[in-house]
Amino acid sequence: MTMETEQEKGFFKRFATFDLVVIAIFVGVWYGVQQIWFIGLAAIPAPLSWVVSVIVYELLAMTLVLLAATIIRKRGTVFLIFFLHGLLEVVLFPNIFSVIGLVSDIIPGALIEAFFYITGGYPNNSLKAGIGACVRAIVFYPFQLLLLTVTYPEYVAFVEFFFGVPYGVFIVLNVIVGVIFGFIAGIIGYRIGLKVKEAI
Amino acid sequence: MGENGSGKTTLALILAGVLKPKQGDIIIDGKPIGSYKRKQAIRKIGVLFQNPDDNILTTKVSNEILYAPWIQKLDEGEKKRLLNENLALMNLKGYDNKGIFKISYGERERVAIASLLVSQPNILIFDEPTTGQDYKHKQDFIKLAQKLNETHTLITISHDLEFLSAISHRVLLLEKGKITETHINKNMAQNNSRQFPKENMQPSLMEN
Amino acid sequence: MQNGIHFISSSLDPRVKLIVSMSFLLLISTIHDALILFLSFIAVLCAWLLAKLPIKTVSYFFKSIALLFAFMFISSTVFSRIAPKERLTYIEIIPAVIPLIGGSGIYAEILLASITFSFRTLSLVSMALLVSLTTEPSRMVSALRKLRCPYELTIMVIITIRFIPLAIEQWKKLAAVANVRGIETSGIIGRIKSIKRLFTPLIIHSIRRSMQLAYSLDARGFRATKNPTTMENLQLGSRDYLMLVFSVLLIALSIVVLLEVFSIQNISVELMKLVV
Repeated sequence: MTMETEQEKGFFKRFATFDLVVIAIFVGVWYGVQQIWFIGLAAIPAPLSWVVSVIVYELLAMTLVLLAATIIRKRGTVFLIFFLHGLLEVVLFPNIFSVIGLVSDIIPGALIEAFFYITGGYPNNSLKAGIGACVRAIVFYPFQLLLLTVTYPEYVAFVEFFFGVPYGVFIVLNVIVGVIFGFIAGIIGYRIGLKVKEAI
Repeated sequence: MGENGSGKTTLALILAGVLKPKQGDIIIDGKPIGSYKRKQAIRKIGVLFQNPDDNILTTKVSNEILYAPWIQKLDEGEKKRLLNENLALMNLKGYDNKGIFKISYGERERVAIASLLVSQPNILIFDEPTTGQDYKHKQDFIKLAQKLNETHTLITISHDLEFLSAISHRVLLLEKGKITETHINKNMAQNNSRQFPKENMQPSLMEN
Repeated sequence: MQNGIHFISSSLDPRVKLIVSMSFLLLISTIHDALILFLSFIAVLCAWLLAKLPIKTVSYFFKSIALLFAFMFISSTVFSRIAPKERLTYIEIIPAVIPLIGGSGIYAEILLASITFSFRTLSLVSMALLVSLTTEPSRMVSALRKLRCPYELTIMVIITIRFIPLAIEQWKKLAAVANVRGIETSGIIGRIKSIKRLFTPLIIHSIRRSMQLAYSLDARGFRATKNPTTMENLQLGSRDYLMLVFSVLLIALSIVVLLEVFSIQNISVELMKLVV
């Protein structure tokens, strides 16, 4: 589905209309499911709900991202998904923190793109997909949790009381859980992507 | 039958036990439908949704047909038997390894019906089954419905008077969630429009 | 949040709303006084009144905000980092004569800190919600276009917003189909199992929908021109310029507060000392 257009320059030139629509729709699925499942979970202050919300968030987000990357296979797909997700937060709930959220979405996106570029292109095996997906957790959680101490200063005492660990350790725990489930999600996303490509 | 928004699909979902009614109950074989576990309920009643694509959960024809047996953890021999039986019944022999989205709309509808029949329910609900079908496929579907009518109870939601007249013993007219009329006349297409609003009458292209 | 919410078309340009909202939030981030933050929240409430949103919408969101306030207030009161107790002012709430729980109370400084924090968050959330509820997403997207956001990206934002309720609807349809194939989708375990079973079908259905939408977009000349015009051409009016001046004042005030030109950060503490 290609036609000669004046839009043949710039970042978007590599994407067909179908690719852009798939990315938009995947972000819609991500945001829609996030709204249903996370609003309640994230507000419950308990170790179990924290763990469940990190796990489910990683599984949801990174499965969709790697799925899209496997189906579309064009450099910039991952970055575009994260950017669109962040931009959506700004459009639907405009405030300074959603702008900061946009930045915290873009950085992992760029790093994952860099990882795939360095390792020779978008994943052609499950292991590479899984490792690529991990990159997000390493960056995202420290950034978000440190930011939280600025917007919600009591959160540090809150965490230390509930989890019984210093805040720094809590950040590391988030990264570890995020990396493990990000890795699993990356593999799942890649495999579903292959299956879907075959089906359509 | 009834106008859009009269509650036909909602009624179908309530009958199948998917939605809970605000008042009253659906009794099948002496028990409320809600008291059956889902695995038991599908042996009583099955629903074919309007768009065949909305009924699809997998990517291969055989996986789609064997979805319920897979959930029920039937053995391989039994699954193979059910698959072959239902492929033959739906005129889909040789389709088992085909991709669901690589077959035609009418074939997908037959796969969707097969995926219901494999659980051997006594009651089948069809929601607008002839919508979007060309004349030939509609006639094929009418023949299939007439055959199923001999062994199952069919509940059909439709605006298609030709289809209803061919298979229905009784037609209920729904308006704003209430049954307003009941007709036990088989040949609904020949009935004059006195009882049905003109908008519900469809022009039909008859093949000579 | 988007389904069924009636967007009152405001005469203010969405870009201006964004700027005013962010300047206001910048200001309240610099203020640490409970009383002034409380007054800021009242100011936001006045803005809500001026917006003349439907009562149902207002009550729905304020119930959520009240819940948020209660959660933040209680958690920050209970879990605050505190200085040594002997330096704080203790307020006894339950008289000592009552057995078991008698003598329970809280520290005034912690109470004040919780109020400060809670009202800051409430002002932030209610301001952002107000902007969101009074701006149609398509106008916000037009604002993005004016801010030189690429055309493709703005269309993708619209598609995503439009698709969110469709994704939820598709999920429910698939859950109904799974139900009629014998899968329990109710209850916690049912929901978790249904995610596993319905995720791939949801993706496949979404991709098929993408194909149809892509054909439709191409048929309507998507990306046929470099800089297509928009149906709504945003123009700044006199009210917008007035609000921009107001934003500049808010930013200036933030700087004044930060530089501690006037001592306003201790008003509540002084008041509390008088009362307690």
